Amino acid sequence: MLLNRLVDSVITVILVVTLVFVAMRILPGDPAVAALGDSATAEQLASFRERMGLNVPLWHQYLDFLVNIVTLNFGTSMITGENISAMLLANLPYTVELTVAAMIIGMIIGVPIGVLSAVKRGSFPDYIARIIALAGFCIPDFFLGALILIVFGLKLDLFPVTGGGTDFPSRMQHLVLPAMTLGLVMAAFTSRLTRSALLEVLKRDYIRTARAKGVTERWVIYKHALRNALIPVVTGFGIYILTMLSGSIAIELIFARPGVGSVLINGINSRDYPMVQAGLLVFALFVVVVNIAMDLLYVLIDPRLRRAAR
Amino acid sequence: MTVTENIIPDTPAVEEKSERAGFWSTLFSSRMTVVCLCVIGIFAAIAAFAPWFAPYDPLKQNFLAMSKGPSAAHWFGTDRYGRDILSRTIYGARPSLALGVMAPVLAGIVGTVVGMLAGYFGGWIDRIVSRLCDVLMAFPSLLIGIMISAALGPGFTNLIVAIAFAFLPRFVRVARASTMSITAEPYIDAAVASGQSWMRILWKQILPNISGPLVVVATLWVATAIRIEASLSFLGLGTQPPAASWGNLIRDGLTEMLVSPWSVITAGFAVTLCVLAFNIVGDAVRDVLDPESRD
Repeated sequence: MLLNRLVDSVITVILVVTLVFVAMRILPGDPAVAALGDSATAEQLASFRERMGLNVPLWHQYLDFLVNIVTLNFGTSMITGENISAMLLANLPYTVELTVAAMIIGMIIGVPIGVLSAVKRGSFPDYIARIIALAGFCIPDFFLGALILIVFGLKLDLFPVTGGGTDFPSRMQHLVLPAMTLGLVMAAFTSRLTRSALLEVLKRDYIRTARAKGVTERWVIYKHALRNALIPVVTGFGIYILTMLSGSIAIELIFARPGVGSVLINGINSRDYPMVQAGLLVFALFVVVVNIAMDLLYVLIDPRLRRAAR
Repeated sequence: MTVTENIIPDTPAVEEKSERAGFWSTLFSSRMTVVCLCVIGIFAAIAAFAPWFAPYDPLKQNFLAMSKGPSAAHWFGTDRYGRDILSRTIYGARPSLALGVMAPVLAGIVGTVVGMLAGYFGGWIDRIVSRLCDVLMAFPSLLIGIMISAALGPGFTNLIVAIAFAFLPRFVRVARASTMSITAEPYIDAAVASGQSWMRILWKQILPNISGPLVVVATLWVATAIRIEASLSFLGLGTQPPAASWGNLIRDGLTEMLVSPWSVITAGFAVTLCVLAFNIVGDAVRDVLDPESRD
């Protein structure tokens, strides 16, 4: 089963990479015109094509593209001439620390609220928790980020509002507001998911059996119910990590933070074609990696799947 | 991504209602849904009659009143060019609502055709379509939206295409699964035996029977479409300045937030309220048309 999953993932990687290739070369018509604009002269276009390897047949470009990905060679920026792989590598830690911090905050806030909400179903705390969760779904993350920036950064002046920091303490300080923004969105997702999963599990026969045996309610919830309820929560995490990652693009823009998202957006704004391609590819690979990781995690927490995997 | 439950605990459960109760009367039985439908109605009216509602021209610059806070003349203040923020927010409703409806509709039309073909014919068409859907479903809609609009370039039409593409696999899946279950019914065998062409069967026999769930899916995605539009415009990939859209109002406002946060706050609340209303109505429509999917 695991082997099948890995084969699936390889097929997915190839499909995704091909999709990025197609999106970048075929959709916008001529990438040289797309990159240089309509006002570019014929010589400029020709030299651009030469430089970017666009004057060879499409299949040849595709092979080059694959080789470059495997060797992690994304070329150099058209604007600054910087090495893109090095640039991405320097920016990657900022995006990863933001996403991880947001996930941790989301879980610490979201899971207990979800449990409380399910156990006290229909009560006032449940009602409040659900309204907050709904608000978390509806408020765009970049707007929440802007509000947090206004209140905690500008009015109260508690934390630095721009940049990513250099040494460890300043990096952590710079992380607080962006991570809080995404973490709150994540907490809304988590609390909802925990609540509905726990409610589903509490209806099961084995919970009734446990209660009938005289097991204390606390033990029923934490030992019998929550463990099973966490299975859908963890698998749901896959898509939420990815939602956090795509949300991080806007959050990096708001807090002027370095990161893969800001590389991508800078590339788009300056029409830096190789940079956009590399940025898109990194996000696409994030998606594939997270999905593989989720499959593995799923097997780890559900013993039934572990047996099937052997 | 979508809201799966009604938030009001005392809402009468759909199951308790008579089966014969009409669609609208069931929908209107929840106070929350009615309130949200009214909110949507108000937004729609504001978008449709924006010139009549807006107190100023949204593009008109007034250098005598730049970056001003709320006042009697400008309820939500002015931006750094002296443009009236309330008027810009009102005009910003237009791209948001238009796209919120058009992207799911476009995704619905294309997705239904593809899903029906895959579900009806099966075989290699189905395998390829399903595989592609699996790949696309692994991506958050926002990320696909960013990828496509980065490739297509900014602009309203490209934005619709990008967001519709992000939603496509959801519609394909629903259309495919429903088509497969309908294709197994005896009356489809009868239609085939009576010599009807496959196009006629798909159009006359299958489409009317699968349209219910597809309408539900479309309603559920309006809220997400509006949110993605705001995000993409915020990132500079959507509606282009100087035209107003909620996303680029927030983007604009960001640079002058120290002086006046009103642009960010007004547009942000407009998006949030609109998404909230569409989410609750979408859920209500789903509960009425498809009570089994309720969790």
